[in-house]
Amino acid sequence: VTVPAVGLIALVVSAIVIALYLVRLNRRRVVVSDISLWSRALGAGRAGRTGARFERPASLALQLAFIGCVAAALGVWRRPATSEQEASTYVFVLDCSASMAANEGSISRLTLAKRALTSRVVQVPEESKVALVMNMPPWIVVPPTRLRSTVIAAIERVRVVEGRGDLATAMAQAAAWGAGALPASIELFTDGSEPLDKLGDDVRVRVVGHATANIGIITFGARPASDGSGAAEALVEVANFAARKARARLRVALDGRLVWSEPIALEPEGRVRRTMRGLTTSGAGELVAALENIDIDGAADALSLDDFAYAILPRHARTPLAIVDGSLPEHLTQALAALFATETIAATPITARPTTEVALVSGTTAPSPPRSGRYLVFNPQPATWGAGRATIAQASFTTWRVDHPIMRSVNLAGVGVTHGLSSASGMETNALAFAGAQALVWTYELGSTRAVVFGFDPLDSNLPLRASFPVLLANAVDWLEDETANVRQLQPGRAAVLGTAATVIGPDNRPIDMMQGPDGAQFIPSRVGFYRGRVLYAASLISEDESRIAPRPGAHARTTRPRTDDRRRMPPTRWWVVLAIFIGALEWALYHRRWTT
Amino acid sequence: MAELLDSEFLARLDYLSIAARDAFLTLANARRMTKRFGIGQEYVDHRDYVAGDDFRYIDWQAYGRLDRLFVKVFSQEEELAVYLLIDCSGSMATGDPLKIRMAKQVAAALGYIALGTEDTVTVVPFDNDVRRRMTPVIGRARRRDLVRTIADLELGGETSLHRSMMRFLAHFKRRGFVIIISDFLDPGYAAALRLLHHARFDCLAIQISARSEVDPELKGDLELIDSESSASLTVRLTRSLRQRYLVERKRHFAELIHLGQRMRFGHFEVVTDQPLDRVMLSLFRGGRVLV
Repeated sequence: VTVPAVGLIALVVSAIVIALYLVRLNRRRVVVSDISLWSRALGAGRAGRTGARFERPASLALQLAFIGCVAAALGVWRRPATSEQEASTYVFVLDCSASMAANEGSISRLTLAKRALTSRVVQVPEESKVALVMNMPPWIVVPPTRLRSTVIAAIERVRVVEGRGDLATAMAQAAAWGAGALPASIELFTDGSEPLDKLGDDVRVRVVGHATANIGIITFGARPASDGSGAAEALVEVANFAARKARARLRVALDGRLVWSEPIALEPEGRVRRTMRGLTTSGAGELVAALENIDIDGAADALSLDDFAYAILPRHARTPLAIVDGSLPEHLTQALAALFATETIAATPITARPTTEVALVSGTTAPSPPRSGRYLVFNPQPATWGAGRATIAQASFTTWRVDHPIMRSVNLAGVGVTHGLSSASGMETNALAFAGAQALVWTYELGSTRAVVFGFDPLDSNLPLRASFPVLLANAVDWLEDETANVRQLQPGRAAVLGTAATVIGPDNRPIDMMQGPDGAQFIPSRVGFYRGRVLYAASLISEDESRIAPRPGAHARTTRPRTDDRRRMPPTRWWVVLAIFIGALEWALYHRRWTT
Repeated sequence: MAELLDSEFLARLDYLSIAARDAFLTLANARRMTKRFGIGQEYVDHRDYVAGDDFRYIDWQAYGRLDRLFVKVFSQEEELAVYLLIDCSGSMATGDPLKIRMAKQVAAALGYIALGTEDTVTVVPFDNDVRRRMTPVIGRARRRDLVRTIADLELGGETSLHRSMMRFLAHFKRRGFVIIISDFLDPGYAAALRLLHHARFDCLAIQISARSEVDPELKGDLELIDSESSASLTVRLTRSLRQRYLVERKRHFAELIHLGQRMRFGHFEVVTDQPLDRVMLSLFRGGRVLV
């Protein structure tokens, strides 16, 4: 029975009661000898009661009130998780992204949020369960439980993950607990740095923090110089998110050696970009950018996490991409040549010559996978390269795995395919992007052969016209050329896939717990800095969303203060039931009970 | 007549006569023995002769023995004037059976008994006034005519006992035994009875009630219609209202009972669903109305 159904039933029953009331108004006519005795008897009775003429309307009102209470009880009971009064599970989502480390006076935003959350957990009715979710890995902090002490202890243990938050994933997890037979109430405690407009209306938001001053590094990276000199170049960008002028000194160090030092001045919302060329080192290549001596017109810099950025200086030029002759149209070949160091190789024999070289082939030039090598494959033949036999026509991408390195920073929304093949299920395939339930992009790994397969011809799709196309190809090439090279630049809070198990030491010189994921061993960095394993990794915040620590416009408008006493504000089902019983008993006693004298 | 009183019942009435508290007698052919002394068949006493006495009643044998003139005194047999005042107002058209039917049956039975004992019976139907001036009836041969006359009475409008009694007293000068058969729902009944009392009429009040009045079983939401005035009253008939109604009814008839005790007239309540023979033979006889 849904809420609209309850309302409909209540309306029907009310209509019946009103109809009966109108029918009863048409009283039975009885001829009596003399009416004066009845009149006097009635007058004697009426004299003791005021408003006797309203007896019948009052009876009708009580009956309708009874129906209303019963309907309200049913409605409140069956109401979905849009309100919390009757929720059986309270899911609290706590934002612990990097922006929550911003200082609000003497304490951090996370501390404020934890205090508010703790007091809110205490107010939850005892019979309800409480769950705690973070917007960063490991996502689920406490599954639904009635043990308040467990939840409160977990809240105390929560620390800021020094990366960009993923509210969508957290809300999906929270909603999963609200999708059961019993309703759930979802409350988000955040600083409003992430967009809240996509949250459902049933999510209650508690925003902590205010617009405080901050400047930070929003871009930092290094790449081999394009002049073929073997040197590298680094790019750093600093932004001022405060409403005041800011001054600071930008320093860049390579393996502990200062390579750049410059005082910078930033207007409100101003940005400064610097490129450092000719960087060479014989060391590990640890590149660190730092903002020092920050002065935001007398105010303090609220967030220090974005005052540092870390990168790895590449040792050599990017691996060339070999394009098998005839695999791509000429204009796509030229476009790829602008992105990668490419060369064209003969169609036969098809083999990736050095182990680090990636060959781009098509289904026509490579009808079956070679025994070894790294390949980027377009338009495979049916039942080859992990493809199935069924063709797909007029499909659009609906979902893609944003957690996979190949799909990083890739947006396939609106990308369509006129016809192609989907992947076949099997151990050697790993789907990346889907059109409905059909995977159109997947990885293929069998023996020494490794490939990223697009199940369609690029000319049968608008993908080459999209900005994500070169990003997707670059990610794919990175992933193919070396399983470790593609994860050297890390994001805190995002899984770093190593492929093979290894020991990794974090910035605090402590070993990192490794996990086994679908793509092999992985770990989730929680802090910015260098991670040392078989190779060197750099983790930086590098997020404009997190550095812009002022709550987004409208965030406070969505704030719903947790109610101090839900039972008092809005009666739950049982109070409606009690009220219905009381009204029913009152109506029965006043109008239907046969009093004995 | 057959539908009002059956023959078997009438035959049982032949052995009854009306016992009036005080006799208002005439010197006609009545068979009723009175306390008065006068011209009769049965010798009672002697008294001294006074001038003017009828010579025919002088006891000459006593004169021969005592040399004094004595006059024989005989008991006087006189007839009783019975007035049957029958309420024919609209309120008598209620009840199941109708109150008017029971009233007619009781009146016919009493009239039948009265004529059987050579009393004169006058039927006086009334509602808010005396509706007809019927001539007194006497003689056993007129009994069936009387019953038929009563059976043919028709219902009228509203009731006014006081006005009707005033008109009755204006028309009927001869004192007698007045039997009022009514539901006495008219609040002026007390004044009417006082009029009769002051006019030195012997009186018997027979109150006809319907079962629905004595023990109303109605319930729910009703629109009560007055049988006489057609006025309406909307009520929700609850148990408490029923109790209050019974209290009001008891209060209404309390004065009737009180007057009966104070003025020494009889009062009987007859419910329409009671068997007539039981009413006549048990209730009346037990109440010493009939002997």
